[in-house]
Amino acid sequence: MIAREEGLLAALWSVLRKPVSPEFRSTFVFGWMIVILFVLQIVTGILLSLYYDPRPAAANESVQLIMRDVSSGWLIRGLHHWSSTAILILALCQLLRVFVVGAFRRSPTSWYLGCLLLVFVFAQAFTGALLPWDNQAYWWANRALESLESIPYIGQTLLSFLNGGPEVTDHTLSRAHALHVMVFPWLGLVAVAVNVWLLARQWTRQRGAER
Amino acid sequence: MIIVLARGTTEEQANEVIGALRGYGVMARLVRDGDEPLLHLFDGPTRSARSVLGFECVVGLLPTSGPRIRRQGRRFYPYHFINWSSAVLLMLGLLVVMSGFLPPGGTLEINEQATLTELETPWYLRAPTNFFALFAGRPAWIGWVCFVALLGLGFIVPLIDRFTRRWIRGKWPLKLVGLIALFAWLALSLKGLVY
Repeated sequence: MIAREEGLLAALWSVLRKPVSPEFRSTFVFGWMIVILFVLQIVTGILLSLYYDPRPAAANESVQLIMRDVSSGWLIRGLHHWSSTAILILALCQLLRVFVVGAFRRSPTSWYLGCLLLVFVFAQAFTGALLPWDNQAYWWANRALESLESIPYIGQTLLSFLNGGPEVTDHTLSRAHALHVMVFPWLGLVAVAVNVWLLARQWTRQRGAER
Repeated sequence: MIIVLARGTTEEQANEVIGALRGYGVMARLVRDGDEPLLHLFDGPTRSARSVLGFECVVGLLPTSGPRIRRQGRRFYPYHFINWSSAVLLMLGLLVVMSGFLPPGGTLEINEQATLTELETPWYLRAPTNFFALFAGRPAWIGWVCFVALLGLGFIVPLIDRFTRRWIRGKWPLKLVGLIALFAWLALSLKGLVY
């Protein structure tokens, strides 16, 4: 809910209206950059999906087409690739910072959401790495899914869900693509949005208390 | 412009801030509002006063010449926006440079007959992969159980903290655990890379 007194707009206003204070300095930049990178991931992801073909026989060729023939395709794919790397690094740094300075004490829910976001970002990066469906991706999928098999109780079920069978097949790519495009980004977006909303609420309440 | 100093700031500390301000051409004098020390900036480019925010005794800045008006009745302080936007622009520039000079791979077609002898693990999976390798020779599920247990412990940090805060005070244990976690991650990620 975007409300005037409490919510995203109020937080934005408080960013612009609050005089410089020591508690929101360079460390706060991490969260801001993660949000921006997340938006960049969505935008470049949508652009890439215009040319990417998720059929196993055509996936690799479509990636080559993006890199070679599509105007600025190399840039869009490069931005998508490197921004995912940057999100991972920043999310790890942010979580470590929140832990070390004890910021999770103020808002435990933000910590839980941050942890979930990190898991989603990892899953997003891994499923994304499989999408070119080249030699590397194929053997990564083999190795990762083999090791999943050894998880007690749920390993086999998880494996057949992700693989679509006992071995890495064409279905593996379809499922990685579905997870990469339709599951993890939305879960990540929800985690980011709820986190920003919680911060905004905390911030506006803090501002109210200061008055 | 007023600079609010922390309560208990000594005159020496205040003079140190005044000296730093003078370096930027800003003239200031110490005044006291009850027991709260303040610095009144009366001459020079007061915008440079932000540079003394790094001092421990400086709590914040208060503009006195009237806030900037963007819309009627709304004050506008663009400092955060400018700082954050600079950081984001720098990062975007870096990403463009990386995209140009280090383009992502993914063009070798699948060869199901010959497995890769040297499979390059993505950097973010190196630590978990090497963690599982620590349990080589034991049943593979032990590695997974330990891995999930560690993740679970990380997840419930606020709960652990709530129950242990009585006995463990201060932030040094957090710093210590954070440092150990960071070193463990780096060591596992670099294992096999550095000889």
